[in-house]
Amino acid sequence: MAETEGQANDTKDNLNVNRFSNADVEYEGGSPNTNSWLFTLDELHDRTPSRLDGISYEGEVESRFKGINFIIMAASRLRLPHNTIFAASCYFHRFYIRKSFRKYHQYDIAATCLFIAAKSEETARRVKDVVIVCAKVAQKNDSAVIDEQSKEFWRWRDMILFNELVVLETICFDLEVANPYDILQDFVAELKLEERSTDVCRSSWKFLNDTCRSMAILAATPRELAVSAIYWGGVLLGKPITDEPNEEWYLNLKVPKEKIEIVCALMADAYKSRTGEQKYGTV
Amino acid sequence: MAASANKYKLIKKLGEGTYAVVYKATDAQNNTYAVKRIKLGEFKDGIDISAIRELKFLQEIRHVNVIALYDVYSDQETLNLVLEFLVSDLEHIIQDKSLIFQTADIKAWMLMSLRGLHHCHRSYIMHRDLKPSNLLIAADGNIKIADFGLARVAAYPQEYLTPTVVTRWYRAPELLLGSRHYTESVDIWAMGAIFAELMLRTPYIPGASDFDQVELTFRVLGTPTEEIWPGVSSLPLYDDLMTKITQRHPVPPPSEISLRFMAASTAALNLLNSMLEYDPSKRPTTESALLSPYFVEELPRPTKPQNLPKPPSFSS
Repeated sequence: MAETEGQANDTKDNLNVNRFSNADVEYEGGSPNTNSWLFTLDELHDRTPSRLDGISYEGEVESRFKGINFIIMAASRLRLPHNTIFAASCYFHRFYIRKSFRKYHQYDIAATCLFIAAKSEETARRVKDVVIVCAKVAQKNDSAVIDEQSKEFWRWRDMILFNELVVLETICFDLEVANPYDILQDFVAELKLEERSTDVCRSSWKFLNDTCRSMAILAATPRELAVSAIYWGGVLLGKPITDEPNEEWYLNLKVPKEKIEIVCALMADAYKSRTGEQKYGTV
Repeated sequence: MAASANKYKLIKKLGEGTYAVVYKATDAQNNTYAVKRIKLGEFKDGIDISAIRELKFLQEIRHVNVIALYDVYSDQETLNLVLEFLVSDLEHIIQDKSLIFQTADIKAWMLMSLRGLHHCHRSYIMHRDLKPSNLLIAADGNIKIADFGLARVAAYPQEYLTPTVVTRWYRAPELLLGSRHYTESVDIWAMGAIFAELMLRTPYIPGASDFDQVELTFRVLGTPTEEIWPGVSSLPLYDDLMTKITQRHPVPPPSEISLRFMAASTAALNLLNSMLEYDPSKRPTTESALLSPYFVEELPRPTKPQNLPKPPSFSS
């Protein structure tokens, strides 16, 4: 265990996760810390704590997918909005860029991230409500009886309250997450996409929802995610985004093609891991 | 996260808030800090939301007129925010009757506060608890906006907000009337009340209770009508409060307001009146306030921070 921890710490240094007081990191708008949570494909493929802990890349992708699925299912039962889901997903992915899935179970961290995000996004829920929903989702049984008399209730409650600080510390207390949904809406308006094809808008929105499940969040800024979502929406439905079919419209939005390709590759990896989860549906 | 619990040595207790105790602290290089120590495990819903808000916003905002967050660390029982150490606050300065304020001094404090607030607002953050004791003063005289425990991101139009924010004397009328959809303009009202207090050296609208605050606001600035504030009568608490308030006050004419603030120039009064407009949409933004004639045209120019009045105990 001690060795694992040591390795994880080395990884952190290798991956150049921001130091808290490193205030003058280069950044373009938003939080000065945001961009230091971005990593290269190589780093995401081979050098995460879980990878160094002997977990396969596919295994890690699947655990992340399951964790985010847990967040989405619990969030919908708690009637939390997509901003909160997105923030919780960011916290979750950032947590596992510094800790191994061997040491922390994805459901424990997912529940804790959702609890924190509900507070930081001004949509706070009582710990009791979060606990009951999480216990039910974990048992994949909405009619399970979970109350203050059940052992499960106290196990989840103590776990969430204990891990709250662990997660905060691991994500460097960095709670500010730019919201990609607002950015998507701005771009949709700018490109007059609504008039062109509402289907493309809808698939872009769905794609953006799905980015939460993948490591794309760790490779691209919210702006890049939003542009990739529009790109994907166009490709999926075979519809051009602008009048000129071959126009590289994304360059006008200052997002290079390579970035979009990285996002799509990470999304494809996440979609591939989907099989194991299909039994319990996806909301 | 480089910080650990033993990097900072707590020297003495500076104050105690609802959810935290603040200590003066030093590090190995003998730099001074204020450490805000938040006790954990005392709240049944985990870490207090005020602490989460402070963490989130102070990490995001960096500005010379906003308190700096240098570091965060935790041990088993506490979460600790390592903040800039500041020697005084505007409340102390206002209350210290041995200090004489020049017109230019008041302008400097307003300028620095509005600059800090402008930075918050342009990052879509409402402070929601501006008052003289939250405007701290650094050894070099700079104002630093502090205490983001009530702050939040500016809301979407349909979002519900709680009207129970801002310390009573600085609470905007829409909050007093229970509005659930308000904007950054609540901070502008608070800055207006602070502006008046700087000139009067005593709080402008010091209500003794929430109800008294409404009555007093109306007595000082007139009872709002649909004419001066469209939509006022549909605010949640309007009907209820109006049945309790028997006397209607007329809006005071400009001549009466200028009598209250004898030393104030026309430009100062114009800015003050606009910040204390009943209709939130008529209040200036931080930007238009900063570009008002009071700051950009009228003399004297604001005092340099280092030359501002300081209490005798002020040591740098």
